[in-house]
Amino acid sequence: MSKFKSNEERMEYLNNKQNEIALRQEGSLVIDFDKALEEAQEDSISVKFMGKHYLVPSSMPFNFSIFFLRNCYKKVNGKMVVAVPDEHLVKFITMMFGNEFMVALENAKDVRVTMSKVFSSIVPDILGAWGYDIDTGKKDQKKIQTLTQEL
Amino acid sequence: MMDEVKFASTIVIVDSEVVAKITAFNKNTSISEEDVTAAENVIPGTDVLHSEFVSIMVSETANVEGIVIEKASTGMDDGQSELKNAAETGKTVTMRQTRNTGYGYNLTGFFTSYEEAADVSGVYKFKSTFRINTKTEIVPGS
Repeated sequence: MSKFKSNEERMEYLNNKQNEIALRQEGSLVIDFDKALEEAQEDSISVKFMGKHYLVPSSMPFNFSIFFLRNCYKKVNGKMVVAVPDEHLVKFITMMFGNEFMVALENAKDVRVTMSKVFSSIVPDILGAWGYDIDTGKKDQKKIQTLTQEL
Repeated sequence: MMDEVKFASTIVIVDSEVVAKITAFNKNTSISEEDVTAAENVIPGTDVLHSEFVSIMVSETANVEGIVIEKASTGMDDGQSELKNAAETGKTVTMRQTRNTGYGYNLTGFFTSYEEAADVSGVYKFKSTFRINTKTEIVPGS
């Protein structure tokens, strides 16, 4: 016994199934990046400054990586060097640590707080955590000097 | 190269019941010819004949793909579609093609090849070659 009473019902059933199949095929071509982001566990790196903790993502954020690769990561004499152009110093710190941290730096009365100190003390650690190691050995002190000289 | 014709709807009817919907349709037409060259076909000033053929038969087939309703279970479920029965027995079926305007064709014939596979959605998908024996126009409102 057929489950359909009329040809109209049969056509409606077939149309629905065709749409269902089309949607499924369409769905199978979609990679759900939103879902992947929801599932991603994001830890933070805590940076302590003037007694306050500032959280930095444990992985390099996409917008920072674009900025970093375009402006600060260059090949010099066959080696990849991190060099932040003067005009991007503020943007670099703000994008890495957040605006609140940048404001705290600006308002710091302590004369020991300098741009080179920021770049030699904490930036290498963050970049290291993000996969761009700047070693702390003598060899790399030179690299950091290169970095700070460009500051 | 075959042209793919898209219709608003193409359905397959067996024993007055809609059993399938066509999702792809490619029609092939072949014409058989006969040599009727005779003495009067001689090229003037030569002894050479210019061949003359006439068409004697037009054949139409269509390569079609679609989805088909699962066969109503009567007794043992042999897991096949309603259309497969028709294909396996060489039964005459009708394909009704209609355009958005309501005009179209009823194509009557039988399947010369047929293969199908069950789909998870509860219908079968099929591919087949359909021999078109007769073609009648559908005129809306008539």
